[in-house]
Amino acid sequence: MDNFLNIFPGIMSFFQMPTEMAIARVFLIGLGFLVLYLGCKDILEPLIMVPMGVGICLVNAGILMMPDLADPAKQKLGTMFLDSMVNTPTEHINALQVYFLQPIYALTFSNGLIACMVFLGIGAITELDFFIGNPKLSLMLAIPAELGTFLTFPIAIAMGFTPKESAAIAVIGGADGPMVLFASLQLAKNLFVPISIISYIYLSIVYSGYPYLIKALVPKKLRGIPMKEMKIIKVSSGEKISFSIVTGTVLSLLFPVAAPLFVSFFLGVIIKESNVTRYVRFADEVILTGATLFLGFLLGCLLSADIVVNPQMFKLIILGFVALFLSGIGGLLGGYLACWLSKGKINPLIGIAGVSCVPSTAKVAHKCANEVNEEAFILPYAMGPNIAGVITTAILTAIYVTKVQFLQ
Amino acid sequence: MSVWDAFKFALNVYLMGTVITFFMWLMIVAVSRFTKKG
Repeated sequence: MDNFLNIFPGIMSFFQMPTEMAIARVFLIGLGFLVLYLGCKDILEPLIMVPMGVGICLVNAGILMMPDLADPAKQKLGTMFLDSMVNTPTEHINALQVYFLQPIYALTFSNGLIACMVFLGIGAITELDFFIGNPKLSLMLAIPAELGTFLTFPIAIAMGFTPKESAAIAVIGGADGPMVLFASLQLAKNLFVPISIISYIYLSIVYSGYPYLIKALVPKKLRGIPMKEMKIIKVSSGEKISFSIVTGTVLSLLFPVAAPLFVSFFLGVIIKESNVTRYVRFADEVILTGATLFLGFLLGCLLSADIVVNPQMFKLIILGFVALFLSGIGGLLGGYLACWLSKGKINPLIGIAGVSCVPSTAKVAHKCANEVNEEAFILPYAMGPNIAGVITTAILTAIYVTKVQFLQ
Repeated sequence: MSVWDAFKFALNVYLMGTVITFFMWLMIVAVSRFTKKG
């Protein structure tokens, strides 16, 4: 039996770790299959979930005894994928030569570059017309949709998290993946993996979960408002470029700590509007696609058994749900306010599009309106608050990251 | 940090975000007018 186990160190590793860790590993391999299946079936967002599912399965299967980088005379259980716990420069150099994903992790994750690359790509595919054409309505709807970002902070404090950790968790309420990555890397590196994984899984569920919230809170009559009386104002490229450069500069001036995110997003927008097709294709097809693939895969590879058995994981699952639930309610309340102020011309569902998650929430609002009234084509109107939601989330994240440093 | 302090801090962040968002709206209006004039 020992000879057999020596030939297959992956199987032997089950007997070399505590029982609860071995059970968690089996659970995670199953979870990886489930995430992959739901991603392939389009129930969860496939762009992230397919590589994440593969990563979760394989990283939890391929565990073996390896030399400890901190002290090569000792051995510890690990994988050939990556080691996120390296600290000293020597460990970094050694890790780069051992783990095949270590270069990508060291160069894109630990400094937040991956979030900026995703943001650059999002900027390059973002349509700003309705947002700049109707800034008052878009921004008015985006603010209440940050209710989760606001209320999750004290709830997380009540559940025992530190202010920095609570701020990183609260950003889940903004429903913007790159922003969650950025905030957790800046404020709570110890919780970066569970926060990012939970937020991405919840963001994938938004598309199937929010329709229930909408149906519970908005009557059919209001859901079917077609918004035919509202015009879509055409905005020139010059106007969008001017807006991007002025806003990017002012926001970077106010919040230098989040300047990398602002510059990435607005650079993407300017690339798109300046109509340099080669750059647009590069930002969309290469940078965004590549960053999304490695983001999903590396997050999956970072989800090891010790993270699942961490008691904080359960609290994070609850807080992630609470954050997105509250933001959804806030968004719909904003939608109701807009509907009331416009004397019934605005469909309240576009309020939930203020929960950024581009473009899922805008699509959800459109789908729910279209189910009730086939003439209700509200997607272009929902994109305004959707883009405004990205910007307000960036602003609130920047304020949290800046201000929470001064808290005891 | 007490929960009440945390609530006040988060409210402060939220209100500050709202004020900056309001200024963004003014900025968009100003940029639009300037660009159209140009």
